[in-house]
Amino acid sequence: MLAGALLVLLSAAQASAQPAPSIDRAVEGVALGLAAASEVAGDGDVIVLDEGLITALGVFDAWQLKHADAGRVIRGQGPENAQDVHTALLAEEIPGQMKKVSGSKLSALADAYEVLKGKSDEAKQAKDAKDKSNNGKSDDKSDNGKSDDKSSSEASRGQQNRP
Amino acid sequence: MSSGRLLGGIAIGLVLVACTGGDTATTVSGSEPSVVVTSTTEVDTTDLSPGDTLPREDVPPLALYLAAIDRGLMGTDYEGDVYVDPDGYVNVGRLFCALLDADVTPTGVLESYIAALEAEYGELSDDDLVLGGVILGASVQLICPDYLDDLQAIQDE
Repeated sequence: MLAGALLVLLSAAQASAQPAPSIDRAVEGVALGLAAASEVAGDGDVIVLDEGLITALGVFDAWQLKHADAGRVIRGQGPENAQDVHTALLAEEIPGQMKKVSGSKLSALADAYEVLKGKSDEAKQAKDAKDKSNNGKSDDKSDNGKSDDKSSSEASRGQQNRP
Repeated sequence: MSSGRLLGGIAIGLVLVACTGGDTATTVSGSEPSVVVTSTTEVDTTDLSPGDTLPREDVPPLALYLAAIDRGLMGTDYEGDVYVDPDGYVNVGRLFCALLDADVTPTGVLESYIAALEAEYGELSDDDLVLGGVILGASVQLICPDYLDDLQAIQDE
């Protein structure tokens, strides 16, 4: 009986000693990121500054100036410009910029960027094809003529007025 | 594997931009003497003190994003790294949002992140994993909030 209990304890100890799956730790990070963002941004009409946010504002200004020097004004030009900048960053600048970040593990994503971007493009193309197919089917229906624009509206969600 | 803070050679100067424009003025209240800023999104950070308040519309979301990343990574190997490499963090956050726009699930984004780093560095540390999660959480909350429900869902799984 004692041996059995020891076996159970040993199994439990082995189980607890096993590292948590990678994705679980990353998901824990998600919770940290969400909580930190909520704490920093709050939910009122005004934002209370702390040392961290004051530093972030200064860093952001420097970052903005850097991009403004390259002919792009990131903020203060309205959401249309912000969207343009976002598009440009995704299309042209991110790989180069990320490669500049030598030494950081984030720069590893520079090598993976094309893969990830390709994955993103493939998904978008598949979605567009599906939307087109759905719209074609809807057009063929003589009973209502309504088109299913749910997926296309979902495809564009979150892309408006994004910083 | 080397530690997370590997950008010691890069220094980012904090260029503090003086306000130069704006049609109207807004008084910023706080525990310190009031600071006057313009109604534009330009913020003069030279006279700001902890406890001051700013209208939400005067605080750029990306500045909030950087501050959130810094807070979320406190106590990890990456503490302070966001201010050394704001480009990298902003770009990865936007990349994550772009993947979500393309219908990649939040779990898929994290898996891609992990796979990309593992391919480069082999086994990842806890802090490496937390890094990706913090970036995803902060970017969804402040850059592409339409995916908040999707992100909440993976935490409940």
